[in-house]
Amino acid sequence: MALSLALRDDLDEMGRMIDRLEWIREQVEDLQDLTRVEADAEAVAEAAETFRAQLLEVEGRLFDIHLSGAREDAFRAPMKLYGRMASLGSDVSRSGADFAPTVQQQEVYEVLKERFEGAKRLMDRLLAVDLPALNERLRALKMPVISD
Amino acid sequence: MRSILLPAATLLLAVLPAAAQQVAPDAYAGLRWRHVGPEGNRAIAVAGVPGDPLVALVGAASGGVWRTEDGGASWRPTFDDQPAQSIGSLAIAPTAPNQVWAGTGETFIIRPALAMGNGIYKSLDGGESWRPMGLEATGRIGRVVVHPQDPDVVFACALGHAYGPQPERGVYRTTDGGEHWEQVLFVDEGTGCADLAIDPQRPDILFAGLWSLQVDPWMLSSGGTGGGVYVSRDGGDSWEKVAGRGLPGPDEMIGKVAVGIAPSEPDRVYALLELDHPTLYRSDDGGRRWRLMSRAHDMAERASYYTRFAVDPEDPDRIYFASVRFGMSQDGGASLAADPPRGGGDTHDIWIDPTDGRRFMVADDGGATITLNRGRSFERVVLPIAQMYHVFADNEIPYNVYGNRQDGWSYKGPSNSRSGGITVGHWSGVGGCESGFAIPDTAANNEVWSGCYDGGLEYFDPLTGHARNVRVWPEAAYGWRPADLRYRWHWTFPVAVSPHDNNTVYVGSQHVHRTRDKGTSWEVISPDLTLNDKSKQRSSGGMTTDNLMTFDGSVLYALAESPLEEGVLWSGSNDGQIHISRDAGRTWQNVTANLPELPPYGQFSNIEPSRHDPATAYAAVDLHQTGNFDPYLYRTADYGASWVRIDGGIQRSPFSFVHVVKEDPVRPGMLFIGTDNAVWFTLDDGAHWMMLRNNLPAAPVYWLTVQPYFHDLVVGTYGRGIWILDNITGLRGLDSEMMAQEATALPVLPAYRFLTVQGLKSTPSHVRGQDPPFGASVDVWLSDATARLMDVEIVDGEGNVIRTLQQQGQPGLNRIQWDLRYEAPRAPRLRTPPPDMPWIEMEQDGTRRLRTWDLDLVGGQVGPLVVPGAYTARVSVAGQTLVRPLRCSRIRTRQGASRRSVGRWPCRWRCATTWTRWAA
Repeated sequence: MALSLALRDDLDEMGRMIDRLEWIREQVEDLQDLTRVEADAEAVAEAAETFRAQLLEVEGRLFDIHLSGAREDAFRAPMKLYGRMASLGSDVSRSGADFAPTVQQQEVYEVLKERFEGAKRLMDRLLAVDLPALNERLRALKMPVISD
Repeated sequence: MRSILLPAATLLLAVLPAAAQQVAPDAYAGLRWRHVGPEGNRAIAVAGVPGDPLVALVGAASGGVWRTEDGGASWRPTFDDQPAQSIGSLAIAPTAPNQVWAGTGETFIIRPALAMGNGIYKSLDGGESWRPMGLEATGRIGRVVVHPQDPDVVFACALGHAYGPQPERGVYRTTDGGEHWEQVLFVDEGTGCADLAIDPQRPDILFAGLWSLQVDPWMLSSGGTGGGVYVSRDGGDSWEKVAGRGLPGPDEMIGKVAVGIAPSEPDRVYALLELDHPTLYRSDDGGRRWRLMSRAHDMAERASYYTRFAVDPEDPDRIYFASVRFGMSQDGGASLAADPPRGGGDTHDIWIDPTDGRRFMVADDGGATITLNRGRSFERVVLPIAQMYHVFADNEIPYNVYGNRQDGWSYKGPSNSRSGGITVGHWSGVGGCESGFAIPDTAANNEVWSGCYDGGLEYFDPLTGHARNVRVWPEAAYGWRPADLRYRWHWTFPVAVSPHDNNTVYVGSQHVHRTRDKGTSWEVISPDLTLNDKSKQRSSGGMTTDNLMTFDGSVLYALAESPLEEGVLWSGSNDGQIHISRDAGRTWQNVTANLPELPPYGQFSNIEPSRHDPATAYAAVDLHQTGNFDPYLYRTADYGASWVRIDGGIQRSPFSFVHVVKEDPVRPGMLFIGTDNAVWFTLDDGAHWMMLRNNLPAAPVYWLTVQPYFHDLVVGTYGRGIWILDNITGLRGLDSEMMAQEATALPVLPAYRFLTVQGLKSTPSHVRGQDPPFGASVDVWLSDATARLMDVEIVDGEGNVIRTLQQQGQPGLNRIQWDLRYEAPRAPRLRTPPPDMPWIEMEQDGTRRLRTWDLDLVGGQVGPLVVPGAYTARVSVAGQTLVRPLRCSRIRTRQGASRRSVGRWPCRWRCATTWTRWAA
């Protein structure tokens, strides 16, 4: 049960993290649209693109950003942390619900957990350092900032 | 730990090998296989007679042609006597409905388990009987098109076997009904034909979809610059690639291609191309200019496995797409309907009645579907064409069989229902999934180890019905290329239960893994036992990536432990490596170099350690995915230090590569193999081989096993389900000593009083397995070239003759069946009609049966069942009296001494020497 709950909590946290990343990325991509049509905004185009790439780096660890909703995506888009955690949760919480987790389920969880922590560290840094830096430049240009 | 003792010779049945010999098939022609099930699955071709909804044909992926002439109420196989069973295409001549064509070999390709063909066949009686008409080397014919007015003009769309460059790929034409063929379109040796369409009104116009495809053991690669849309406007004499003008340019990479002409408006042409996404193009001027209509994935997900469509004969805007889910467009391809007809799942072929667009059929991975109302409702046709990967048997009495079926489940079903027949409902799931192994733990309680792709592994407990996931490394690998994975798994990765300790189980990735606690933990007990060539671990698919562990390179495929010497482990990979460990996995030795004449990159299909000698093992290597269809069978007698090839006596053909080799548990030197279309056996360790076809359809034989107590040969076919050859005692006896005798009777196996049990009350289906004949079978060998009458007396323990039987004997093995009953009471014959009913007819001899219509009478009109005990069979034939003892056994019931409701052998091997005593 402890592993099931841990997986549930991690997936929950990951879901919120993805939501937050997508919220930020949507704003950044709106900003990028703006940089293409407004001369004032052009000054932050490169910074916006750099920041977007950093967002994609974090998101890409959680799920394949190319997922289109097609069923065959499962075979062409490598399953990332969100899918792998969910798959492990399926093993543990469904057919394994009457048993203690197998050793290998715990080992894989530790591997995935470590990767998740790495993704969280990246995101924390983005929000603590890179996003404020971008927002500083936007404020200097009197442009709306990116909220997180 | 439960120890499992090893078998000595089975005293009753052991027959030492006599002189090496070739046995003529007539000697065992009397033995009959029986189909047991399960149901399904894959059909890939459909065709009907225009305007006649009673007649239709279904082509199975690897299970032959099936025909109905009663609107689908019943279906019969009509292709069983042909050597190929993969029906890639069916076509009925529009002006001569009795002329039917079948192109063999599958072109819906996504996994290595894929049956090939050997050309094109023709029927002149509506699909009842067939004869080969050439094109043997084309490998796969995915479409046959018959000229709308001239039935002698036929086009065949040949993909090739796809395992390498081949000049036979392209489009062929005959103008004399198939007597001669001309290759009218050839692009290059890597490009074949995937689809073909003819203009029904201007038949000089044809469109072809060409497909560049290469299949290797480690990768499927779809796409090339040779592929694309080709057109002929002179009846096939000349062809032009249609490039640009809206379609991709001439040098652009294109994958699989489907083409179609709207029958009601022939200038409307569609082409569905595998690009980076499925892409539908449309032309409204006969193929001169094109426009992109849609890139919806639902049109052709996993392009190489689908990419086919059909246009409604009355509405040029209505298109049906065969894909994961059946799709439909009603606006000329601009969009897909949100709620299309439900024409099955994983669909492949579509046939629409050209005279009535309301009637169409779809072939899919569950069988076929038929609609008469334009898809508002479908009749589902499920045929006995199961593609089984393996088959195992437990030791219940009667025993059960286990196996995983493509597009199905991991199954368990009875070898004998004891209720009149094995229905679909007798089969149950035991965990796992469609691929891999299902192995019962016969030393325990028939728990089952069930595999699945992606390293999936479940441990099924029959007492709780629960399957626990115990996979070795539960890190989902969907979409990843093999090189990126910690462990690489084949679609059917090997699983093996130790014959010495049922708690020890091995599975193979690129390593050997071992558990001793029912999968709760695993240890790696080997290094990487493959070549670990990273160039063979790339993404599969080609134009569109398709990574689902179907074409993983450098993985283990075979794994086995010696039943005689604990800790002697064998592994075989799909990249041509074989290893042995003689210290339970502490050290491994690569013995590949000791196999003579072995080409690189063969797949070790299985390794069979001998039950008779610890140093002996057999290995089957399958090279067909490198374009080499020969058998490669080896034997070592010194733990792999040296090997000899033992496949010399196997006839070479496109189907002669070997999927499995198994040793008979009783007769040393007797082996069985499964090739891509037959079972073969040898009595002299491979010096001579005999095909054991008889009534077994020529489907690929992927696995086989000998049930050691019933002595049945159980075969898992990839296309026709599981078949059983009951009681192979007679086959074992085929040696020069026995065959030199004019007549002899073989030892008789104990017979069980398998009383009828309450059966499943299910509705009839097209799939119904056969139970074995009830009672004792007495096998008699007759060498005389003339038929002889055999008189049989069954004698009880006190010397009383309790039953007499008579049977016409034929040269070879004969089987006389005694139903364990005394003589029946006399059946009276009436010599008079009933009073005042002179119209009642008498039979030819002037008498008639006394008929009393009451179901309860039947059991009283046969002889009583004998009690368990010792009996004797006395066979009088050819002036000799052959005497054989036999035993009748009861199986214990819940009311008897046993704690179980059915009997069961208590161990896998322990009883081999004493089983007759125990069973009684």
